[in-house]
Amino acid sequence: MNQVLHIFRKDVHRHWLEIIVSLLLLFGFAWKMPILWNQEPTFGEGQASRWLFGLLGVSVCLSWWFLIVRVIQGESLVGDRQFWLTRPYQRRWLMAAKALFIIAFINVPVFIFDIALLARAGFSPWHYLPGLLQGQLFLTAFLIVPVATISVITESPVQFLLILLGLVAYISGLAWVVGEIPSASAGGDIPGAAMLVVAAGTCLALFFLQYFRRDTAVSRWALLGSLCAIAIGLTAAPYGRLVEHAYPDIPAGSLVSGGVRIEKKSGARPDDGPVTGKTVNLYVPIDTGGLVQGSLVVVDAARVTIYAPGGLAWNSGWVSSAHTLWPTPTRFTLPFDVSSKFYSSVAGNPVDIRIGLAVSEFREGTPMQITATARTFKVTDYGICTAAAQTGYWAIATLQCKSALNEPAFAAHLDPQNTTCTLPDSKWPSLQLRRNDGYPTADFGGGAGLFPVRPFEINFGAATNPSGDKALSIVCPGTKFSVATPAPFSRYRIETRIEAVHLGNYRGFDF
Amino acid sequence: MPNAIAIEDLTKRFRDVVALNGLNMAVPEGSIFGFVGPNGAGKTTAIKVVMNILQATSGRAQVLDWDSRDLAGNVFCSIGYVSENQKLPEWMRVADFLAYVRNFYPTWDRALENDLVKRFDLPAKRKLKMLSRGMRMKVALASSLAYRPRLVVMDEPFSGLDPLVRDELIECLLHGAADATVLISSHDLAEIETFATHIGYLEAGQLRFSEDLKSLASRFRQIELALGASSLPHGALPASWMHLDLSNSTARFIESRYDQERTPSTILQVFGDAKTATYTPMSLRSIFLAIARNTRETNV
Repeated sequence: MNQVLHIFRKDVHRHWLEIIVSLLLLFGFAWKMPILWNQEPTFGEGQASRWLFGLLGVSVCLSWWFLIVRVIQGESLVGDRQFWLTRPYQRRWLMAAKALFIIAFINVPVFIFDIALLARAGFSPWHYLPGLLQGQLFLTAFLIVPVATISVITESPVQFLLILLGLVAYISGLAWVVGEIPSASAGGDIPGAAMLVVAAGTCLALFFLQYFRRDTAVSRWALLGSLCAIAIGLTAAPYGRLVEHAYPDIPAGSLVSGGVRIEKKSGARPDDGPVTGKTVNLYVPIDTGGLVQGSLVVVDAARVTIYAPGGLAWNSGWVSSAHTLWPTPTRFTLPFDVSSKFYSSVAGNPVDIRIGLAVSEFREGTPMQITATARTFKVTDYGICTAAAQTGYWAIATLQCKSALNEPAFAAHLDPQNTTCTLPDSKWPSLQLRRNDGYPTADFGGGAGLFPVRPFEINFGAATNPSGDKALSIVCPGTKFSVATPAPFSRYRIETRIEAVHLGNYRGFDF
Repeated sequence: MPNAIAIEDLTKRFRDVVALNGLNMAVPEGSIFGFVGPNGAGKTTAIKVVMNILQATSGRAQVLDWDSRDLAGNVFCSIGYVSENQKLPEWMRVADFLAYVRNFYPTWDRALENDLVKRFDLPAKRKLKMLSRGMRMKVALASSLAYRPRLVVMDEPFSGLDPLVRDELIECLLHGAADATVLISSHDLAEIETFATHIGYLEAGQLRFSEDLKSLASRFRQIELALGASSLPHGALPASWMHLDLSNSTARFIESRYDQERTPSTILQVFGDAKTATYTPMSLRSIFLAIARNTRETNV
């Protein structure tokens, strides 16, 4: 243990300047953070502020990476000329000293940064301690361990940079290849998670292998092998079948009893104009309804299959989507790109379109009644919202909220009849129920500790005059609305089809 | 005499290059072992394998009480290692470096450290990167002697140093490692000769010979013969004769197995009419060059 502190002290002595720079950058990043919560305008001074904030964020990460590389390569594990190799260093204590350094000058400052920001945003930090620790875990897993792993198999910052660039090229290339695979965007969760486990396992294995065996050749081959395995895993995964497995056929007596229907567009003159480019954009309007009250359905992915005379067929594969369907009749438009070759070959002929939707159904929990106040008000379990300081057409339509660590999932309802806002004409607001949902984001512990306060909006829409050229907020002090947490209920597939339509009728987007 | 280092059938390959080819060698405890050989012979590789810096392809080495593959951590409290191409933490000042490494050794002798710093005239406040090559070697040596190791291994410590610095290093080595076994690889045969007790000659990854320096010096002689009318040798030459040169009724050669009684009679058998024979002792450098030349000629 004495050796750990001894090496740690030496590293602090050597890297004090980098440590100070890194802490100052983190402080600056924290200082500018509220511009994210306050929805400052994205032009003029606000834009400059956002640029500075973005620059600080990138600089903080780069300063950490530089610190990690320098401190680990201070006792480089690669090469045969380092003085420390023939000194009484205990490898485990050396590794512990480096870990202590990283914890002391990256993890602990971020933890303090998170606590300070939560407190500044009006949250009680200690209430979110498990989430903060989870943030530390993600920070370590995503921003520290990969960099530390490359550092232990390289001898200098230049070597580190070369391998890093190689990895960036590998990831970009792999993302492009996987993006070309049908259904990969919708069915990538399971293979993606599996490959993350492989990558994390490889990183940890290489880290320990280098510190305890110091066999760089084996470590580098292991890294290469792992990258190949990940590439094979991601390109060979049966994405389509994974989607179908995750979303079984709609059960009997399904909740979408009203069905899903493709709108038949039958313009007198289908747009069979010239086709340029490799694909043609088509937009298919879909009407849905029949959901039971208190439920909402999120369309996670959609698949379009087109059957043309002569046995011709085209399939989009499962493409990820994010439409929310409410119990009231809902219409949404599915955009998709069909190959120009197929489109040209069937243009002018009637075709059959079959659409599959992979959906997640949620059931709302017990609703909580909230009354908006003049300024900031708490929405228990969700965050802190404000209806004030609204400027511009779009801003008046939303409540600006912030939550601790992660964006919450919610289903919010507001009856415009209950608005306390003064509207010039009682006919102004369309008096239909207003709804908004927050689809839960991936839980990364407050953006790996870097974004402990997450802004989100509750958008009920604005009241507009009949001509649609004026809009006013419908949330004013005293306005009541309800919020509930949607709990996952089931996942399934719905299929619908329409026959004898012209693809040319679907080239235009209906607003 | 027990061995401080015992190497058995050590082979090290770097892809297609065989750096060590079944090396067998023993360094007796308490000796100052000069490890010599031409460039690329494998001296540095052998030392790095012995120090567990590189892994052997096959074979093994015993260092003091440990298998070389187990050399790590506290074992290095008993071993000092100095190399010409060692990377020191150059950002440190001399005093900081000594203070830093001091903490790793329970047997660190502050008095010896101060003595070595004084003898070497080390500038305590200067950063290592600002030191000359010779000064850096002195710092490395001081930091490797101050804990009184049982074994000191030095890889080409005199390479590129001026004679004065070499003398200082040797003097301090003899002073600071009086009770230790020293393995020192070098091209500087003249320097090695002045203080080594044993010598090992490595070539093409194999040990050509290894012995006590006194014995080596006693078995090599440069011989000059004044011959009579018939200057041609009778029969085959002994294998121990090297570089025979016949000219103007004179024969010159090197005898690698000189024996006061046997050698003259062998000469008489080969050159029946030899009138006089002069036996000149050889320096280590001359022996080394003769062996190297002989090996090359044999290989050709």
